[in-house]
Amino acid sequence: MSIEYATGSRIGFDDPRLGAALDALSGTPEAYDALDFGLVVMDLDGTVLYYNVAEARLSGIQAERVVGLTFFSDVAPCTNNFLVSGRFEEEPVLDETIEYVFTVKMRPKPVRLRMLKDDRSGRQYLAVKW
Amino acid sequence: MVNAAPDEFLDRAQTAAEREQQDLLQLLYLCPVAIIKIDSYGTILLMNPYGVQMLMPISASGKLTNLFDLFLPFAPELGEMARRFPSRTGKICEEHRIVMPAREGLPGSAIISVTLQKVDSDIYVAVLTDVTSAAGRELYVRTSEERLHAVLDGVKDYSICTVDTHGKITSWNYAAERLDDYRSDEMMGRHIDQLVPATGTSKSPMMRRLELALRDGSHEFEGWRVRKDGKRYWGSTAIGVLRAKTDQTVIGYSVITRDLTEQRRSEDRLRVLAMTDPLTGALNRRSFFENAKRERARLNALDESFTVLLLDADFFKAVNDTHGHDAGDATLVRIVADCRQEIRSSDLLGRFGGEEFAILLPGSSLEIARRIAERIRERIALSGRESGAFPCTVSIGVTACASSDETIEETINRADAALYTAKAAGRDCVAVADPA
Repeated sequence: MSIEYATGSRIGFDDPRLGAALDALSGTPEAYDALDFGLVVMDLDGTVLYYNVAEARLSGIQAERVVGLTFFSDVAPCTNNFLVSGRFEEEPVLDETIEYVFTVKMRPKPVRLRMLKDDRSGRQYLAVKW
Repeated sequence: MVNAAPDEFLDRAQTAAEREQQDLLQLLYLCPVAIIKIDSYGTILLMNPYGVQMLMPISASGKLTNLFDLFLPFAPELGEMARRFPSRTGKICEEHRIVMPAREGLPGSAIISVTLQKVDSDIYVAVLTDVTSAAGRELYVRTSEERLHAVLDGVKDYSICTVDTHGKITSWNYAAERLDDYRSDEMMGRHIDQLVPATGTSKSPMMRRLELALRDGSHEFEGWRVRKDGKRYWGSTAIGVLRAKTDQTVIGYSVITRDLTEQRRSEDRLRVLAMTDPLTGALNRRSFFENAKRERARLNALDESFTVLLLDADFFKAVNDTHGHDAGDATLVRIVADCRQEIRSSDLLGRFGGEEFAILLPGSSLEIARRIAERIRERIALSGRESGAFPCTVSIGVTACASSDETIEETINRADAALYTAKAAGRDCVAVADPA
């Protein structure tokens, strides 16, 4: 694993190995804060384990308010449909990017969502490119 | 706080305002309805996350920019209603239902309820609720209600009505209109007693039934029902107790009556077939004995007597041999018909097999029985001489029930002995065996 990956500074939203790279940083979650896109780290039940700085800044929601909550139902109900949460629930392995809309202080903002999941790692990620 | 530095105070104020705003946002974010602010073109200005959750699946472009465009394929009227709304403010539509197209892999169509409010000349607020399950429930209730009505009205032989706790009719089905001849509007509020024959006492006959149903949970009985035209039908009625869903208090009864007239007729036919001799219509041997035993017990209890006549056709074999079996059958039918002319319908007449018959006359003295026997003998002898008939006479043995008779068979045996005497005396005559 390269140094860049270890700090997270060079990991891009469209990186083909994004899932594996994020898994590798699980021991030092602060590294997620160096990413230039929003990242929500969840366990397989959807409980928020980490909410990175970029995501907190873009969404206007502080990390300490959401860690420990169920993301799809309690944090971002806008994703609680078959397009997003349904995919996470249904599919054991997932890596797909979709066009979506988030709301920031009630204003709809088009975003790109990358849904990452691998049952074996025990965690799933929602990467948000604003 | 007084000594706090101005900067610090400002920071705290900002933090408090931010916290307040976060709380407000959280409320809007977690609100389980979609709240959307649009302009008069339908451009989405503000929306909460639930709106995104609800609308993203129907967005063909993957974007949420214009609400009217979004609904154009399913509800083009939405934009139209907003445009035509004349006032500056007011409610444009309330709980307007939009049926969304069925999505692949999902059962049925989603139904979204839209309330659109104009809050200023160019500002509208839309509140969207997913009412799919509510609509589904309503549909279920409506269809099951319709289905129930169809069932209730479809049943032909069941008169179904409900009554309140006082026996006043509260509902009346179509079959009841047909069976009982009363229209629904005639029967509402009337007492259920109207449907059963009056008992002659002041006590309500149906209230007693309702009380029994309440005591036992349900009550069934068979009896006559009186139609509007006064005609009767034999019905089997089941009464059920109706309770309020909430607190189980008794709110009334269901009274379901089935018209058994047809069934009863066919049952009667079967009973008659099982009991009678198919040729002559007289009781068969078994049935005669059963009925005779019952009569004997009844008359003993009343301390009344009865008599028995035993008849046998004279030289019957000759009729068969000379004229054939049809002639024999015709003769047996004639004998029974002649007997019936001389006895009451309450008397028992049975065929013991072959050409032997028995008659039981309740409450008659031996002398009356002898006279009746004589009349029967005479009638049969006369009718045998009519044209088309085959001449045949009968011999009759008569006796009365003795107090010493232990069984009906003892009485009949004595009549048999008398019959033997009559045969020996030359036939076509009556012999009496006096038990005294």
